[in-house]
Amino acid sequence: MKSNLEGREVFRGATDQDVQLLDRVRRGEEQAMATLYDRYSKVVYSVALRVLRDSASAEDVLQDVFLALWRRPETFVAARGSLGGWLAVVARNRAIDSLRRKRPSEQVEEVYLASPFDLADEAQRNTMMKRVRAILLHLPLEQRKTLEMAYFDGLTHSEIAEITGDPLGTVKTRIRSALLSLRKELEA
Amino acid sequence: MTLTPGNHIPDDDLVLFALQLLPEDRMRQARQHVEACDLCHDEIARLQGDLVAYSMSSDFQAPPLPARERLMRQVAKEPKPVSIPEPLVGLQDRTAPRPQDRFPEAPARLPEVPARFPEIPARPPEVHDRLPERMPDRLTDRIPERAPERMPDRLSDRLSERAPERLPERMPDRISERAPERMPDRMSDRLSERAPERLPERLPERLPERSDRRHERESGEPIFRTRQSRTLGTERHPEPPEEPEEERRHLPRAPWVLAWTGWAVAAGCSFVAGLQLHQRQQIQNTIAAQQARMDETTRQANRAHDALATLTAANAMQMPLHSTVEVKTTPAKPGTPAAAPTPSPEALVAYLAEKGALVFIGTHLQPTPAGKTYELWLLPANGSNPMPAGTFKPDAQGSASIVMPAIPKGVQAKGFGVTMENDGGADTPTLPILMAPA
Repeated sequence: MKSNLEGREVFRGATDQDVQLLDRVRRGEEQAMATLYDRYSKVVYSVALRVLRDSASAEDVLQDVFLALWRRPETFVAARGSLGGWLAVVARNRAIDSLRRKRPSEQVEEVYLASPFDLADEAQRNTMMKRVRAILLHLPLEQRKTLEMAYFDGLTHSEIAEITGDPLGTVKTRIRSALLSLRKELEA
Repeated sequence: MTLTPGNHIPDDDLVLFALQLLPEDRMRQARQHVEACDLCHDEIARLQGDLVAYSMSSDFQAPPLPARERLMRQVAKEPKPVSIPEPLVGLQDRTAPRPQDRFPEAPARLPEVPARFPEIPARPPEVHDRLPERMPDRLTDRIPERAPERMPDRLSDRLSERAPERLPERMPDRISERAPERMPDRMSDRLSERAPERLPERLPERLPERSDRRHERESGEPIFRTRQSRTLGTERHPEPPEEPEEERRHLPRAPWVLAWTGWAVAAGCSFVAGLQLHQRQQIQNTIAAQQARMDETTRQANRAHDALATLTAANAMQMPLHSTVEVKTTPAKPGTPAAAPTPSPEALVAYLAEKGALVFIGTHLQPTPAGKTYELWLLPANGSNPMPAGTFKPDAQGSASIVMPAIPKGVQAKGFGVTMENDGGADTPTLPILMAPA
């Protein structure tokens, strides 16, 4: 764990099972790779599908993300956060890169991730989905739309400002406010 | 990048950094700062965590089953040489330094072979080098000076090179005693020809001291016959015993054969182990794929069971939906029979609030334009915002269904509606409402 904020554990590392599976992947065990795929393929595919809205392209991102994990399992550092969360962010970023026909960026994989959710557990995942959706429904429509355009459409704040006609500063603030509201509600 | 008075990245830009939406030059600056700044680093991490949570708002869909097989095929094509089990490493590179960890016996022999090999050619010079040093001790005071005249052949040639003056005096005395009886071959023939009278006298006295070859001679084995020069050298040299010499004579072949046999066996074992490992992994992959299929089938069966229970549950809400817009029909051309009227879209929603279970069945639905999809909405009874309840596209016959979409349990519904949205669905309905309860 990197640090604590307000006495709360910020970085929840990967589960022991994930660490063991990654260790086996490091040793070249294909079965471990298959298990990891079974645990997280739905997360990766769903996020990529949400961004790309095309099953074939989402499947390409799915392959890309898991092959990258097979080739360089050391890219993910267990202490930096949960594997499921990391994969979700990587899937989103790769999908956006694909959307923009940009060379995949590796930078995000190096960023620490404070995600206390075990996304391998489908029940917890579904519970989380319902909670997040319920929270989002209560956000102001502008915030929700702006966040969606930034995260799932990969639009920059300038592009969003052009589309919505809002000032740049307003767009930035809306994105941040939406995320902070989500965090606050989830921590409540 | 504009940094705040506290020399940190502005909060709004931190969010854009986490989203990877900053321009490249500012991303680079921010990255450098984040690497050095714990505060900004921690906030980025928290924002990433928020984004993970936000990602979870997506509809979870399992990827197509062939995707798994496709990935595993690709994975199988990219084995990791570092992590391949030990026998395969030995098989891949026999000359690599690593095999000694895996086949300790093999390298233990290999170094010996070159170490011993050179000894064989090195022996003769060694013997000759020692000959002059030792010869004087044993021979100088006994070999008669006349020996050069009586030993003109191999023996005398060698002795005369090192001690030409001393040999003649004593050699005849020693050898002559036994030479006639025990050296019937070349050596004795030559000696007897040249010094028949002198040699027998002293030779018996010295021979027992020289080496254990005395026993061989006594047993009648004619060692001088074939090894005259070599045995002479070794005979006078106490250090190189007979056994090591024999051993050396055989070593050049034996260690090589044994070493290569070891390697061959190791390579064979490695190949078999690698083959078995590969087969085992293939079987495991097959089992895993079958297990995944079985899980998927079980999941579908459970969904079908829940869907059936929803349709048949006594307390399930059964709500028919009708089209709210007029269906356009193509007017018949003059002179052609009038086209049959297009049936109006209809649907039925069965909903069990306590389980969050829903089944939607639609018929006579109009096809959707490219990039568009129908989306069903649940209108909560408490008046809160409509909740998405799944997207659908009609087939060629105009039929479509939604079975068990992800809906929170316990949400009481006052109605349902259908809208048209962009592919992938929306979080809020886009008017107009195309289908609604009558």
